[in-house]
Amino acid sequence: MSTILVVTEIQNGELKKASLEAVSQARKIANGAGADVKALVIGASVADKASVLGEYGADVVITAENASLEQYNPDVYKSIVVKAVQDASADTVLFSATAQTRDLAPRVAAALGVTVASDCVGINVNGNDIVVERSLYAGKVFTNAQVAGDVKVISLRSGMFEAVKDAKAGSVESMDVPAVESKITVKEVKKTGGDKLDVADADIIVTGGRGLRSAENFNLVEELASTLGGAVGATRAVVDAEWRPHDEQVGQTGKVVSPSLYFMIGASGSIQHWAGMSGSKCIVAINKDPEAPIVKRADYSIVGDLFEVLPAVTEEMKKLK
Amino acid sequence: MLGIVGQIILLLCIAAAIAFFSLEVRKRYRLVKSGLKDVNRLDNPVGRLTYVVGKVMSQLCSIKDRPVAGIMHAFIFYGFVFFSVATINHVVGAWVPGFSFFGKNIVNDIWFLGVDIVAILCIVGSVYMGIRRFAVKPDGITKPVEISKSPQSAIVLSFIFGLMVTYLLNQAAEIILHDGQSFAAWMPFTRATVPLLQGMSHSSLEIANAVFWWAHILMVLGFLVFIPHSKHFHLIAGPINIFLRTHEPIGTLQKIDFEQVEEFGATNINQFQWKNNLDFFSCVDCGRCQDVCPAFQSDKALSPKVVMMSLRKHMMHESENILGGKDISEPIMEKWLTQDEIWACTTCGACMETCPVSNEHIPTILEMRRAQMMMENNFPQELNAAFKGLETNMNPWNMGSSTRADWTDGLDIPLMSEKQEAEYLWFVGCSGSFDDRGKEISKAFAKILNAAGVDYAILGMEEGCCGDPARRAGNEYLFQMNAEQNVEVFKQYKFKKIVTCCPHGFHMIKNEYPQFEGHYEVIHHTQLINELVSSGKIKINANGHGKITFHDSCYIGRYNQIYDEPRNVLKAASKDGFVEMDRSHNKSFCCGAGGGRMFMEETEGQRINHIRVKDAESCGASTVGVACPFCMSMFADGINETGLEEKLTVKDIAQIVAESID
Repeated sequence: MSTILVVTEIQNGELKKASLEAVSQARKIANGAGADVKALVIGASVADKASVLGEYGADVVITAENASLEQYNPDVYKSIVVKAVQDASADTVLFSATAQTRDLAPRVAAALGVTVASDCVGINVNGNDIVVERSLYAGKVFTNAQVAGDVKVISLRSGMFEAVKDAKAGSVESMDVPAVESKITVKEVKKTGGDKLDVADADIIVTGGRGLRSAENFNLVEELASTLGGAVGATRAVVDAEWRPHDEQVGQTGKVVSPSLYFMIGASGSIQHWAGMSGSKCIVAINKDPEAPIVKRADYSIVGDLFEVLPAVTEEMKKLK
Repeated sequence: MLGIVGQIILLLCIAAAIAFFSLEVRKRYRLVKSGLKDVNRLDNPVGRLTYVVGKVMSQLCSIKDRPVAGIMHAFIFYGFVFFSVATINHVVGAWVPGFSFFGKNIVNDIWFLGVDIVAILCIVGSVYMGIRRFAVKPDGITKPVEISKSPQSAIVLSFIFGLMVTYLLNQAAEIILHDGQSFAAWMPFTRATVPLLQGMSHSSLEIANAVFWWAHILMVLGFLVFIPHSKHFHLIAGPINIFLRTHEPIGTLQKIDFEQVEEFGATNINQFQWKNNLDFFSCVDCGRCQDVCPAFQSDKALSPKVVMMSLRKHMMHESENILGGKDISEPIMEKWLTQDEIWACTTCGACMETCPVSNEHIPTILEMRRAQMMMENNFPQELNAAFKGLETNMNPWNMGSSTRADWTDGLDIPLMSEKQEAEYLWFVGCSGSFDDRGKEISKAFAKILNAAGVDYAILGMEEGCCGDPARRAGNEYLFQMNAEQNVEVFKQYKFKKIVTCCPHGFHMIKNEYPQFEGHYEVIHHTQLINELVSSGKIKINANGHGKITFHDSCYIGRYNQIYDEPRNVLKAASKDGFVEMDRSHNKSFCCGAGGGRMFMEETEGQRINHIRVKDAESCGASTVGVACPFCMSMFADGINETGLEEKLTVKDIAQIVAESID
């Protein structure tokens, strides 16, 4: 192993957290194997990203910068990555397993004539051999697979690896963007829900149920959410009553979320809702009924009148900030 | 007797009418026959014939759910029966003067007394029907407005009215012209018509009589030609359709053989089974189905009547392509029916239960769902989550399958894998294993079984979803996986019966698993509890629940006729009395969760469960007994959402009994 190339990703002008995790993991491997870490960053304006990538352990940051690279284009991005792999003589290519990677990594591997190990939750390096750990059957079993090929293309599941700082030079090398004929043109990117944080992306979610009694009372929920920098979620009953828009609905027939912190306020936590948020790392319930299912299942429960408890919690959170 | 010219004209008219009639009937026969293979529908022919004769002759098909209109319909029906002989006499009389089919005897007299009476009844019936349709306008026959407006009814009612009037006038004229007091002795209404014509000169009366005579026979022939073109084709197709009705429980679906079949479900009008096609032609557009349909009654796009009418129109529109073996010019969706229509069905079976001609709406709707699901990949996207859960963890909520038996922690509940053998295999089901409300039902039922000393065991982690949500949502492939897995697990153990708390699992294992070589005696927990209570194996002390009512679940009620057992139990367990909701037994109104609807959004119209909760509230009950975890969910949510928490509680029968055995 001599060079690891990490393909990073920019969203809304910021490097994705998952990309930093991948760079950090590459650094760890490189430290053990005595290899270089090069980070590739593609976009319309990327120069300012080099220093961040350096902080997380990139020796070299390769920038592919061009106004036309604002939006993801499979043909163009693939050519850039392939060229970067060849220019850098990389023998290992790491991606974070994002939606874009699901499209891009197989294209890159195919162009290089090698295999791709996708969505890995663990990675072990022994000399030139790389063994990856992958999860099967919805996490019931794990397999260990040795990655074949001269160039090893691997994507890492986000959230499974830590992003730790380990500052390296991060010297910038800008590369020429290859001219590629693409049949694909991105015309527009449509977002629902406007500027507010989408529940599916949020790391903290504050969900309110019918216990709030009216649409107006959701300002209590909104206040806690904005204090914590989180998103507002809603139960089906609340969306049905038209207190909240459908894009906030969490559950079986709404969005499936797995934030670090999930507040469940004034809702019993039916199975239909539970099916959408059971992956949350920490669940906090505020409910007046000690028998409510959510109270039994939550990591922390506050049994009491939400109209007293919720403002008090928000107040305390404000003090902590 | 007619002159030779008249005879020739009549003969030509009769020949033309029969020719037009036969061509149209033949076309419809060929369209029906062009459908795909169906199950054997000719088993037990004697039983089938007895049933259809009884049902049609008694007119119960029409009377049972609409007594007044049904009786009016019966008047007209008996009119057709009696007039058959009168028409033979009428036609043959053109050649043989005074011809009588029965001869001149008492039979003839009595028969024509019948004709005389039904002539009047038909006039009453057709006037009533006209007023009803064009002045009163009940929803069932006049909505949805677009598809329901058609001149057909006006034409037919005028035909019937005209036939009767011309008959009476013709007979009255005969009495005057031929001094027919003797032959008219048994015809009081005809004789009462005589004064209308008295005072006419002999010659003008003769002319008038000829006009009545010709008008009557020409209307008969015109009606004959009109029948196959209209919903009145049910005169022919209806009885045949009832004869061929399914002998399986309502809504039972047929297996798709994935090894043999290349295309699944009905994308196009020529992909239904032949019996579905016959249903389209048998439909009378009466709208009894939409009167009881939970989707239509909650203002959703679906009406079972419209499904039948639209598909019939579509089939006629494509008739040349179908019969010519050519490609169909357009698919059913979106022009003839829409996605909103086919996905709104809760498969409750109320339409099939009420249909006077035994149409089978559910399989037709589900054939279209199958096509949208498996061929077109076009279905409500929220179903994806449920399917993913069924695939990976064998439950629609995608809870870890290894946690399926976690609800038994701390309880004494035996596992089949430990016991190997038990009298009852208790199939707990997904709700009973994962849903908190369902788990309470399971715990209550376990308490009852333990108290009664029943020899039972559950499958625990080895159990998987029965597959009902997948099959009802058209995902036959996924369903078959679920069913085959369960049958394999069942095979490993010895047991006498399977008992379930969920009507969906009950119906699936009892009636649809035989398609996968799984033949079991299956009972629902309400049946077992009833047996334990009535045999004294468990003693219950009636508790105060306030007045109690029972909500019949579609899959044990209409699907499997379990009506009395749950009621017996509830009556024994409650000391404050039992009341029925207005809609109960086979007329029960669905909770809204069947047909995979539990896992879809309900965004259109009112919420079905809110309507049903109001039924329960207005009957004066303070506790609703249910026998299904889905109904439990829908009621609990509905009570909450309509703010009736203080007035109404919902409990499963197992919970009510478990509370009474402390």
